[in-house]
Amino acid sequence: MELSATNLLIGLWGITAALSLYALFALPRLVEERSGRIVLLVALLALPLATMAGGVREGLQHSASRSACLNCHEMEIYGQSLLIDDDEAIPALHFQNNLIPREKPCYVCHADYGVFGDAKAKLRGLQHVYAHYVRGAPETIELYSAYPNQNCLSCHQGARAFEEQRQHRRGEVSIEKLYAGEVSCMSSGCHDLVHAVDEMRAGDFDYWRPDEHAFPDIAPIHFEKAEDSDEDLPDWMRDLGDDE
Amino acid sequence: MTGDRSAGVPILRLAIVLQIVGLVLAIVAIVSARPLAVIAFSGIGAPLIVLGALLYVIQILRELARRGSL
Repeated sequence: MELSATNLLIGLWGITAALSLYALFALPRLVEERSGRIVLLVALLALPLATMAGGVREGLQHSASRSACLNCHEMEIYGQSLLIDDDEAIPALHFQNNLIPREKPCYVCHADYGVFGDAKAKLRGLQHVYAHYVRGAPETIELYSAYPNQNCLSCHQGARAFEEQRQHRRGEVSIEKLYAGEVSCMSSGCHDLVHAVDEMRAGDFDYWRPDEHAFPDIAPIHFEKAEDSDEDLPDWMRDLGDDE
Repeated sequence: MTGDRSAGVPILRLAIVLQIVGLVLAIVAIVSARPLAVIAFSGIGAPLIVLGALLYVIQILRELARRGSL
């Protein structure tokens, strides 16, 4: 068994639970003995609080994970979009090339940069759970506000390849405007192919096929790119194909 | 003396029961990556564990006060 923080926490939980049960049944005797009162100090104060702190930490990590985001079926297609086989698709490009942590790609890109970014992301997560279980998810899932450049710049700002890119210094675009958020990175004609769910449903993409066990939380993809058919060709061209 | 200490047993028993419920929610949140499990632990389980610990501390303070140690 791997010695991970999670396994250590499960071990701590086991000891805490066992000692709590023992204390529950032996309580009258424990309060009378000095050693028993020490057991109670450990069983009712030290171990439960340590387990709780570990559990909260683990829970926060879980809530930032890819599998937590993709747990709701509404998010299924957004997970599948990470496998689009197209260099222009921003989430797929970053995910497939390890430019973001594969275990928490949604969180890394959608938690706002800044002091309260993480806290805001957790609060939005609560809203999402409420929407999923109580209010019902909206038909079209949209961001609460325009995607902030700062989320891209938290990695790209100052990078030579980014700053020397010609497209970042032409026409309406300038590095200064990008840094100030005056021009969106996702402006039309720039990095505007993101999750592309409508195009996915229309069968516009091929998909990266890693080992089938690599990302078990990403649902199998059913909307394959349509095979090249000759339906759109004029009759005379189709006839040529038949002759061959 | 023995009877006085036993007087705190029901409160301590309640504290342990609260903590056991909190611990059950904790293991579900630790093992499962489901958002609802994490929310249940953060919103219910963790407060129950803290409440159990508080009851224990209150009982110790009461015992110390009874003995005139405070």
